[in-house]
Order: sequence, then C-alpha cells, then structure tokens
Amino acid sequence: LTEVLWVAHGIVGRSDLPIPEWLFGWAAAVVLVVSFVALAVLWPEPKLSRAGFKPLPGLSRVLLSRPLDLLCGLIGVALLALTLYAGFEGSQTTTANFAPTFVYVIFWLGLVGLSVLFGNLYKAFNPWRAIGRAVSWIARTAARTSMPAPLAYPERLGHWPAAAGIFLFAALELAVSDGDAPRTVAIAALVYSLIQFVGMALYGVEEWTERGDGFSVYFALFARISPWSVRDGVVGLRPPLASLADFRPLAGTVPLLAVMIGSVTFDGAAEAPIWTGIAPDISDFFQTIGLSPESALELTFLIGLIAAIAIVYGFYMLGVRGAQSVGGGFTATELSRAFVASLVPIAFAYAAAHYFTLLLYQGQAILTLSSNPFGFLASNPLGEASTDIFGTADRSIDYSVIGATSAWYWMVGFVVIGHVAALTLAHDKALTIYSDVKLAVRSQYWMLAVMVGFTSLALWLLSQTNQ
Amino acid sequence: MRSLDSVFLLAHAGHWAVNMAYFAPVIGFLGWLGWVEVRGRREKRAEQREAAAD
Repeated sequence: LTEVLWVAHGIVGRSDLPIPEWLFGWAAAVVLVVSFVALAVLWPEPKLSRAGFKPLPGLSRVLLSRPLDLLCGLIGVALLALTLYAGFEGSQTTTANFAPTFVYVIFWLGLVGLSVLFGNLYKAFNPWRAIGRAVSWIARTAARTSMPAPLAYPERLGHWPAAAGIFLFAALELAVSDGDAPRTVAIAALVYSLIQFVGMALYGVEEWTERGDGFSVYFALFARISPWSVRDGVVGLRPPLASLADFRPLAGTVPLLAVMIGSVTFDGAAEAPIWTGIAPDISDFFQTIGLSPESALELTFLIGLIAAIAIVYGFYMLGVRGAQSVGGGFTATELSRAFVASLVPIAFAYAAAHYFTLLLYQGQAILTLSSNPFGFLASNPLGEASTDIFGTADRSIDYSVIGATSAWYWMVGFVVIGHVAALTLAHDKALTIYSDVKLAVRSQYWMLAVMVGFTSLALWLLSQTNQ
Repeated sequence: MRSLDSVFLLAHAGHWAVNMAYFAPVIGFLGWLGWVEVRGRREKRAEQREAAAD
C-alpha cells in the first residue's frame, strides 16, 4: 500500500498548467482578500447562526426509523468484524487484504466526503455505538430494573479523548513503520474498540460517543458543513455551514482541529525535500543514542507529526492573539474557541485536496477486495483469487479516471472553497460576539492572515508531491 | 566550509525561491498587518496626547 499511497498522493506530470503552481497560491490569496472585502461590505449582520431549520418530517420517519437504525448498526458491526477477521486471519500482504484499504481509504477518507455531502451518516453506522446500545438494552432487559446512571462526563475532559484518538490514529498511519500491515490495523481496531467500551461504560453510550470517541467527533464536525441536520429528532435542512456557526466547542476542541489539520500537513510535508533532507539526520541521532534503525525512524516521524500539529496550533493562536489585540475584552481562550469552527472547513479542504487522488485511485481497490477480502490466492498456476464473491476480484485500478491537470484544479478548488468558507464562518462569528461591527471586521484582519497562511501552506504541500 | 555553504545556497536558489514564492502573500499580508497595527497605536497615542493637552 505504501507504494500505491506514494503514487496516488503525488500526481506526477502537471506540465501543462498555464501558470506556475506558486502563482495559484497568489491567486488564492487574492480570492480570499476579495472575499474578505465582500463580506465586510455585504454581510453586516450574523446570518449563519440565525439561519432557520426546514424540517422534513416525511424523510425523518424513514431515516430515523428503528428498523433502518438497526440495519445501519448491524452493517457497521459487520464491517468491523470483517476488518478484524481479515486483519488477523487474512493474507498479510497489505494491498491484498481488505482491512488496510477499508480503514485508511474508505473509512478515514471516504466518510469525510460523505459526511460533508449527506450529514452525520457515521452516527448510524458507528459499530461501537451500536454494540454499546445493544449491550445496554440487553442489560436493562435482563435486569428488569433501571441500570445505575453513568458518571457525569467531566467538563475538563471535553474533546481531549477524541483529540488523543485521532492523534494516535494519525501516528499509526504516518509514523509506525508497519502501520498499514493488516495485523497492525486489526490490533489497533481492537484496542480502539476496548477503549470505546470502557468510555461508554463509564460515561454512557451517547455522552461518550459525542465527546470522547475520536471518529464520531471527527465525522460529526465535518457533517456540520452539510445542509443536513437533525433537531429534536427531526431531519431537516439548513444553509451549509449553519450547523458549524452553532457549534459549541469544548476543552480540547482547538487541539483536536490542530491534530486534524496538522496530521495532513505532516503527511504532505513528509514527501517534501525539506523533510526528506533532515529526517535521516534526526534518525541517525536517535540511533547514536541506542535506538534500532526502525525505532529511530518511527520516533523521527512521530516528532515530525507533533511538530506539524504544533505549527498549525501555534499559527492559529497567533491569529487569535492578533484578534485579541484589537480589543473587545475577550481572553485568548474565549476567542480561540469562538473561531475554532472556522477551522473545520480548512480541515476538510486539507483532507480533500491532499487525499483526493488517493481516494479516487485506491478507493477503487475496495471493489476487488470486497470480492476477496482475505486476499488468499487459489493454489493454481495462475494465482487467481481464492474467492470472488461479487465477480470483481480480478478488477484492476483505473488510473485514467482523472488526469493530472484536472486533479490539480480540483485540489486548488477544494483549498480555495474551504478557506473562503472558513473566512465566512469566522466573519459571521465575529459579528455575533463583538458589539461593534468595526471591531468585528478589524479582528478578522488577523483571521484573514490565518486563512491566507493556511492556503499558502496547503498549496505548497500539494506542490511538494510533484518534486 | 562557509564558502561552500554559500555556493550551495546560491546553487539551490531556484528551489528555495520557488518555495518562498508560495508564502509571499502571507509575508506581505503580515507586513501589512504589522504596519496597520503600528499606525493604529500611533494614532491612539496621538489621541491620548491631544486629550491630555485639552
């Protein structure tokens, strides 16, 4: 998979672009500045947080029905079971096994796009929530009395467990040398499952899922970009981004967003000469103090990942400090939480732009792997797949599905649209929290600097895959 | 060695200059923000001086 990831991350051969790649960065910055001016002139009152909700009761009856809820939960549990079984018992060749491609491509990347388009689908398919609810129902039924109430979720814990979960997943993907090995993926899924069950047992299924389960929080944040929303048990529509304007951050939300953006940043930077030049030196240093070459390299990449997250966090906090200097009497913590929702479209832009081609190419492999999930080959001279459930086991990846130049335009489009969305959210929030419109606009000079910085970084990272 | 470093720096100018080009808008924008900040503080000080003189 590593080789495939390398190729799919780096679109090679963008030779027919009309202007140099760096000039796209300048154009994107101009788009942001123009958007900023347009918002300052044409958007004098908060609109997103005051946006209405159009209930769709007919659709709610179907989408939130008990049978569909049960079916989605069962599908989620079945996919988790298949991932675990394939990881432990299937072929240990990464590209031949269902588990790594399903976890790193379909689940981790594909669900991001689906959440942005269709809302919080993951909540229905979340296998840990489904198991937790089933166990809770069985326990209640068997005991025939009310179960003891779970502990109150500590306020200071907030999104910290979710941030830790996403960080560990990113470290597994980017720093652990055999992080894409089927058995490693299965062990990680098992460990994550155990943590979720302990969390749910302590704090309740819904409480833990909404705050402590890293993947639930991750996909729920992206789902807030979408126009689909659930209010008081009814599915409805709101303008895109409106659910983010209402988002109430907790302790650890800002670090969580820094992990989300920083991990993609490091994934891109790890292919850049700036990192490939210094990584061997850092690794050599760790070997001189007694670490094995493999451990030294893993520690080096872990440090790189932490550094990327720290840079993203530091840059955001720099913008927050700048906004604080404008006045208004807010603390840095208050402002950092007030504007953190604007980082969600940026996180989406980073993920979409960086993994777009990986999803398009390696995502096709799931058709092959679904037919032969354990990756065993028949003992005949042709080495054909041992099982072919859907008749797609011998299907190969079509790399002509998108051209290099088209992919570049899509990626730039994701980056620009994501950052304009972020700017709009931050502007809307500033109008909500500042009593003076002039102060609100001035505070956004700094947020504009943050957006321009993240845009430039995103485009630079994308360009590095073509070095 | 120092002269050799300079040679490397110049020889690789094409690479790092292109990399820097990506971040030119950020640098320009931060410079402008700094200038706005300094000008704002000067104006505030001038207003305070005028108020004190009155």
